[in-house]
Amino acid sequence: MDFWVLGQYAVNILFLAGIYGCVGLGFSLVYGVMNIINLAHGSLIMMGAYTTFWLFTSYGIDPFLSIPLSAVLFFMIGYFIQGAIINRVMKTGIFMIMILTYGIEIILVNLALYLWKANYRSVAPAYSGNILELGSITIPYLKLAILAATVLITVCVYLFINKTKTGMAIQATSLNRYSAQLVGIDIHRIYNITYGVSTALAATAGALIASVYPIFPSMEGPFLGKAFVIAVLGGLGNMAGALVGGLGLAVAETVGSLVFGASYQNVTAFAVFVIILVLRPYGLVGKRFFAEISS
Amino acid sequence: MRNNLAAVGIWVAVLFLVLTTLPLILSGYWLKILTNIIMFAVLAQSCNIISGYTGYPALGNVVFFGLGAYSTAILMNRIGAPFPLALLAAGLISGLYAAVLGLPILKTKGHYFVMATLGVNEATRELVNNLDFLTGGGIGMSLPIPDRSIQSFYILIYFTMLVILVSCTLLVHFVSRSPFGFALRAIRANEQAAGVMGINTTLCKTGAWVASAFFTGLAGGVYAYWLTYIESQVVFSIIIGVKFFVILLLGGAGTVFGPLLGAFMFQIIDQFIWGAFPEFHLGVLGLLMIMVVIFVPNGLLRLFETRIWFPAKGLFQALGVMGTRAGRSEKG
Amino acid sequence: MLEIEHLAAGYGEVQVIWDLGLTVGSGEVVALLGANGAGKTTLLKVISGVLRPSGGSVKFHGCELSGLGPEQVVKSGISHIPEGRQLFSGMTVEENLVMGAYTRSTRGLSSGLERIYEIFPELSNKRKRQAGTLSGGEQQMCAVGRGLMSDPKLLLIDELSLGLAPVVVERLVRAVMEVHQQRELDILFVEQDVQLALEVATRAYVMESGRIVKQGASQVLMDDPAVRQAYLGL
Ligand SMILES: Nc1ncnc2c1ncn2[C@@H]1O[C@H](COP(=O)(O)OP(=O)(O)OP(=O)(O)O)[C@@H](O)[C@H]1O
Ligand SMILES: [Mg+2]
Repeated sequence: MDFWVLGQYAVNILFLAGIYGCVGLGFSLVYGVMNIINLAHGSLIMMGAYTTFWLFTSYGIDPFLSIPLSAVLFFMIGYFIQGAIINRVMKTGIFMIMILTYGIEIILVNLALYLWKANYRSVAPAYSGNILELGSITIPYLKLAILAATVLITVCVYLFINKTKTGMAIQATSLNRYSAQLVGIDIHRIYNITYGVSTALAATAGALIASVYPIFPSMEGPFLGKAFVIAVLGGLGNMAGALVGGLGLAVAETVGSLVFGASYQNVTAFAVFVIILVLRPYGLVGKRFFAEISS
Repeated sequence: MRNNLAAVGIWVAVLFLVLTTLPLILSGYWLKILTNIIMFAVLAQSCNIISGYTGYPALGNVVFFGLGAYSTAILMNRIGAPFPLALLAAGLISGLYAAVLGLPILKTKGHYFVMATLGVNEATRELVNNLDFLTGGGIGMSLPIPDRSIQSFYILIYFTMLVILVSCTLLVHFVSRSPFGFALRAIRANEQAAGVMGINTTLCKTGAWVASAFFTGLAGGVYAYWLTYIESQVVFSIIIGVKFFVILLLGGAGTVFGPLLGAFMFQIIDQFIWGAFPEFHLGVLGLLMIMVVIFVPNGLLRLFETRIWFPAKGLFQALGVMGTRAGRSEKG
Repeated sequence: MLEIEHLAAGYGEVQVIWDLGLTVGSGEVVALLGANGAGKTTLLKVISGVLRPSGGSVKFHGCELSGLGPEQVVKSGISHIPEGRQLFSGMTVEENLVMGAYTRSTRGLSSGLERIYEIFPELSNKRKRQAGTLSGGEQQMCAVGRGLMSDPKLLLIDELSLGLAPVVVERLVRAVMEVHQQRELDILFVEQDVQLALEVATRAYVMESGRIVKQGASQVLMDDPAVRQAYLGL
């Protein structure tokens, strides 16, 4: 394989990794802080994508500019979902919380089906055809912008979690709930904020996805699946790991489709996922940082 | 105690009578609903073995449903196997799949186990999608049309489903009072301690999962023959998996009759929702799930026991005590 | 000034604390003694708001605390150093201390930190170390430091001496007592080492199966034959 072909693959992988990192970040955050597998994450991504679509078609707002708007909106929605519904059952077992979040998932799918029907929709900003050529590598500017956006988002999340008081409180809560309470952290408020941030990240991922791929209500399933794979590759609940997991999934999919054929990309991804779960439940980076591994 | 046994016996006899005569008088529409209820009861009951009794939340158990459906379809369509043989093979294939997967996957626990089972389901579905020459890929697959009257075919399907449900429930009933059932509950309570007590936990867990997979696979097989057409998106859909979990929770996990009660209630409500809000069917279903989790977390059976049965029993006992006292004072 | 009256509490259906009364006056150091499982930790959890009581009252300087969340209890001036240290083990020593001042404004933060480092110089040169990698004694210092960072008026300490060498325990006790004298800090502490507890405390309570069965000045309890036999092995 020559240099240019490899380069093209590297660029594509990097771009995919950016989107996947964004998909996994919010999912891992919720698991890390609250020990919840949030089955609603896929549909929150889907709703984020539709919000971008709606803002673009109705008001002509550029998909990238719509991110801050929808992030704020989705933060509030997430804050509400956690505060009004999930906090009520935080003390019950994992069965319960999963069923609950799946209930939220299908409500949102139903909403999307009702509002936008089952059709494929797409957002095509005017500049989406423009391409940067480096030798024989072609890079759509759109993908470059997405990569830049994901880097920016990652930096923002990093700063929020590590440099703000609320971010530190989120970390403290995920490390030790009891102590967090004893130093005066209102953990329920922290749960609300965490779920809000995770929801905002889902909306952001949705916006990025909408700007390159067609969207449809049942896209929630595949993206929820991807969130699983990413989170597990990186170590459940580990946020830095989510980025590694995003890269891991991008590589696995690309290599899988190269070796076995394009239609095998998902099989490879899930096979890798199950193997990692069984052999290295701590994830590829393998550091126990956020949540404990226990049921 | 003997009284209790007699009561249960009478109930079971009545139920049996109703369930065997109903299909002969019901219209096609209601027969379909009844068959559906029984199918979901089978699914929930199978799930009960691994999740209710053993405590492993196998949310991805729907993989065996899909596998059973596809095995039956392939055996009947490509080899021309007769239905009963194909069905039995489908059950065995599902059980075998669980046995092979169980050894690694049952090592994980809690959230990790859930995710692993979901992952297996996704991977299997994708694989089925890709094996076009066998499964027809994304187009789906049809089964041979039965050469008998529609009505008698549906009745046959109904009774096959019923037989599976009865065997599955009997198995759960006997297992729940056997040493094996004790071992499973010990694993649910504290796996490490169970191991220390000398229980071969790996063997027990795998056994439970294989049994669970076997019956789920059978249900999938009957489903495929019933609909005569299957698609991977449908038979491997997580929503079916979640549905039988909700049924299990609604009825009461870890009880013999909970899944039956849950399936009945859930399907009736589901049917009503379809009728009343066709456009918001999914949404209302989601709302229902949320409400079950918030308001009936211990299942209807237990709710019934604590809110109605125990108070009633207490009342009867109190009355009984008063009665005997009254009797005594009369004598005295 | 902590006043507890007719307190009842437990976990779910299981009641652990029964009709319990206890006070900590200003300027006092009060010990809470009792066998394993008597409910001492549970009592502290109720005071700090982690556990809701099912009856009775907990008053702090005249304000009713029962029903308040732990964050409000901390704000009212009570700090709880939990049994078994419970540090944020993925964070550094300094981050742990900073978390201790969560309810306070960031203005006094650096002077607060310096004060802790003065009390425990060992922590000063390990401030960037992960808390989980410290020795047991250092971890307990970090836990005490974290508890003091909120500048409390009442300090609840659960088994300061747990698993530590006598020298280290003595050092920790001295440090805490110094803070008690310098800043008007009242202390209620749970201790298994009864000898030590009665030496340090002005008064003590003895708890058994969720009830107070004995109380009095340390000196009196020290001479009480029942206490001597049950807890001092004399
Ligand atoms: N989280 C909990 N859930 C249920 N019961 C609990 C819980 N924590 C403690 N208990 C029970 O409450 C009782 C009192 O426990 P507690 O921890 O308060 O005792 P203690 O006096 O602090 O004991 P020790 O000296 O061993 O620390 C015990 O019987 C214990 O089993
Ligand atoms: Mg204790």
